[in-house]
Amino acid sequence: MKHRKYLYLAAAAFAISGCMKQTLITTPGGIVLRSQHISLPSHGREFSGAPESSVANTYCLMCHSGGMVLTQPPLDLAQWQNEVRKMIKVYGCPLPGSDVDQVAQFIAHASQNPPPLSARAEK
Amino acid sequence: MAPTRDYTIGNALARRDFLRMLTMGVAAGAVARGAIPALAGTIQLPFANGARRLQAFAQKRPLILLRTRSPLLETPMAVFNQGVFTPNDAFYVRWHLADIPTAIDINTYRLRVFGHVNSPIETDLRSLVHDYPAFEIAAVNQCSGNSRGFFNPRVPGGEWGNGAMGNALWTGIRLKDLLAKANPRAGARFVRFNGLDKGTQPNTPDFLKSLELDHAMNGEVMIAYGMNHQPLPMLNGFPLRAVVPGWFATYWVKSLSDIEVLDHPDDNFWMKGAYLVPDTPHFNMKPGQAGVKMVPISTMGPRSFITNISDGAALKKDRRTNISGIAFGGDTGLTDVMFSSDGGRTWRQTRLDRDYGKYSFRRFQIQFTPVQAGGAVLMVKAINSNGVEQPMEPNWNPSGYARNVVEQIRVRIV
Repeated sequence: MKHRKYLYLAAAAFAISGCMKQTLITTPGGIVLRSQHISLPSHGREFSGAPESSVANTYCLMCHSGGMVLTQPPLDLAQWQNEVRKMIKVYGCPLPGSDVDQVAQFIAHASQNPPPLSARAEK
Repeated sequence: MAPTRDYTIGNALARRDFLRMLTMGVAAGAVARGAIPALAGTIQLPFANGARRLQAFAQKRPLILLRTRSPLLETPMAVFNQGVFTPNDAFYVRWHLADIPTAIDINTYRLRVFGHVNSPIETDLRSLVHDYPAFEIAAVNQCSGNSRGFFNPRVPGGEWGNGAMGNALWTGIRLKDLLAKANPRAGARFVRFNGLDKGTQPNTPDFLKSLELDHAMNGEVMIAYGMNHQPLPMLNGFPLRAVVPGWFATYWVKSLSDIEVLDHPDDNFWMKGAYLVPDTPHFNMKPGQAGVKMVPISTMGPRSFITNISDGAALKKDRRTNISGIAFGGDTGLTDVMFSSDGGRTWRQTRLDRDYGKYSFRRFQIQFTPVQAGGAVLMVKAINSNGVEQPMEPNWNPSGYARNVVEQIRVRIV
């Protein structure tokens, strides 16, 4: 029984060392490349307040987190309408055209009244 | 102007020999003066809505968080005071599309060269690394929109301070060698890069960037697998990225997977509809100006930054102070960095430290002894070997690209 355990361990060690060999690439200059895997922080539904926040959360956050909006400089409504239309026309955002004005109005306000940094915690 | 609040960064570089090389380029005793400690974990960039959190991402120390998904992370200016090369874990991050690569298996990764070529290539990493001669170059990678937050009037976009740039020693292979093996067919004109990033919506245009074939074959454009003698961080394009020395970073496609040779100009959105600048000196135009010819952004101009003194710092009257910082020539080498302590009326030549190549940051130093109490404006101006110097007036264009005005630091002499 004990023997078998060691056998398994040895087999596992052999398999891992075999794996390791394959998963390292050493470049001529000595840089060692290994497979990589990272995790990225998530973000929640970052807009709140007015009823339109729900539309903004649904559509704006499909492609980017709220920081893109909440760090913008003061822009007038026409500029925001322009930005929202660009998201639809250029980047393929499925926001209905009839919602452009209310979303633009909402984020024109939200972007200049961002939540405090402490509340913008990203996990 | 509100003082720039800077964040003090710890040192973290792995390879000792490289560290030694780094420190040779750093002026001894370049101690930050007047840096105002920020609230823990936050920073205030000196423009409206410039409050930012510092956030650590995988393989990154805490950086200035502009956007979580896909990440936009800015390098705090204090990092640039610590050496001529920007450590990988402090190097800024900029992605366009939402779905970015987070896992790479180096055994299955492939790079393809296809299109208008006689011998298409599909290579794995091991072959790429060993089948082509290694090539190394120090080069500044700068976002086209670096410093966008300083545009006046402000423009929408990624609202960066001055830290959407970095300098690294890039190791890899020349694109020329790979393309030569693929053997472009007669009539080949452009080379288009594609990486692994993708949009979340079916209609989001894939991020593709192109160079003219002659440019791609110039022996400097390369595919990097090393950054400061280490693998690239995932967020900077592991395992391979295009390196286009002297050109803005939009062409330095990350997690490079496809290289397509075209027999016609690339009309994809990211070449024809985005990253366009006015075809004017300093890419400058007036807000609302009509009829301006717009062209794809390309080469960088010279820039320089004092890094050891922050805006708003106090300097002692009659005491000699060392002023130091970083500069680069843009698309060619740096010739001079001039210093002014009187708001740009008179200029003195600074001393340039070690030269790591014409596309690299280079450190400069000058001794300055203030003789009069009160406010003073310190400026530095980089001049490159084409005789191009930083303009005294800021440029403006609707997308906030290619700012390279002479920067100012206001100090108090006490």
